[in-house]
Amino acid sequence: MSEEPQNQAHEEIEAKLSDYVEGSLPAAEVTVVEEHLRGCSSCTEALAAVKETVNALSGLHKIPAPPHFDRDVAETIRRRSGGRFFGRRAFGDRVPLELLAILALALGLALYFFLRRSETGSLRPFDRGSQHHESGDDTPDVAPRP
Amino acid sequence: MSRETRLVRRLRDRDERAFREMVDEYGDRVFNLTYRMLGSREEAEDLAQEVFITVFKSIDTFRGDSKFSTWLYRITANHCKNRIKYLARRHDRGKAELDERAEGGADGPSLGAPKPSPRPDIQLEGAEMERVLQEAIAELEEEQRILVILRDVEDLSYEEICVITELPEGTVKSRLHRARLALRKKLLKHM
Repeated sequence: MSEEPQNQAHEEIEAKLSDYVEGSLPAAEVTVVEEHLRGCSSCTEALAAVKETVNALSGLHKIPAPPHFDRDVAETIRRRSGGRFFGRRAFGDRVPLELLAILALALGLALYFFLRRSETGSLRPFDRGSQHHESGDDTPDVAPRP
Repeated sequence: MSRETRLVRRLRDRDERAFREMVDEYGDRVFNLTYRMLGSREEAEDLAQEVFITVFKSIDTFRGDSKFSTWLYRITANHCKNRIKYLARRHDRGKAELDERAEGGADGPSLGAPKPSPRPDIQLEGAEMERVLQEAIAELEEEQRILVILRDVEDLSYEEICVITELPEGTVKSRLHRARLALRKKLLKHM
């Protein structure tokens, strides 16, 4: 057997060693890896290396955050924001200002066109009778009396 | 509504109590990751603070496509990468202070310093092993470092690691394997 296919076999097996150690290799591939390992000292050494490394890493202590870490972060935020960062949001923060501006513009335009179409020039609808009634008490009737 | 969803909603309302709850719940994990990535308690604390500030400022961009903790790890990983590059630019990487659990950290040996003679005490052997491992981790390429820490130290799933690193699973697995072998070589050099 030439050296190249052998190297290729080693590489293929070695690429599967991490999965093999973690137990995530499909059963069929486990058989292939184990068969190869029985006759290959370099891959067996690589397997031992992966196992030892994974074990050593998983044995590292978990380093807890320093005491009062939460308070320190909150203070940093408060300092950087000049005290404006925390607190419930105002209406303008919850609803985008752009949306509010568009709504205000639409409302203004609607009001403008309504007033233009209005015969009275105001929001009050044209009502000759009520106008007469409102002004009738104080102003003389200009129509000639019979 | 899940607890996580409620927490996110309260964070969006800039509720300080929710913020403290979040730091209380995730602070240790974020700190451990920053410490293992940077190898210095001081740098780790500073960076962990930046992570939480970023989370609080950008909580509106969290869409809930992944778990909140995965999103948080992603921010942490990105901050770590940036900090490592920054430290490398300042030529501080090699001088990064290692925190000695047994000896208080400030006087710990720097990278490349002669290793202290082995001690018979099992506890000290454990601490010694931690130091050697931390030194070896610090010598890995930044991407290899993040992969071994997320998988072998933090015990995250491949699915989570793919989201955090934005790499496909096959790439994560092959790079992780290479990272483990590289770490093994560096460990042997230090031991």
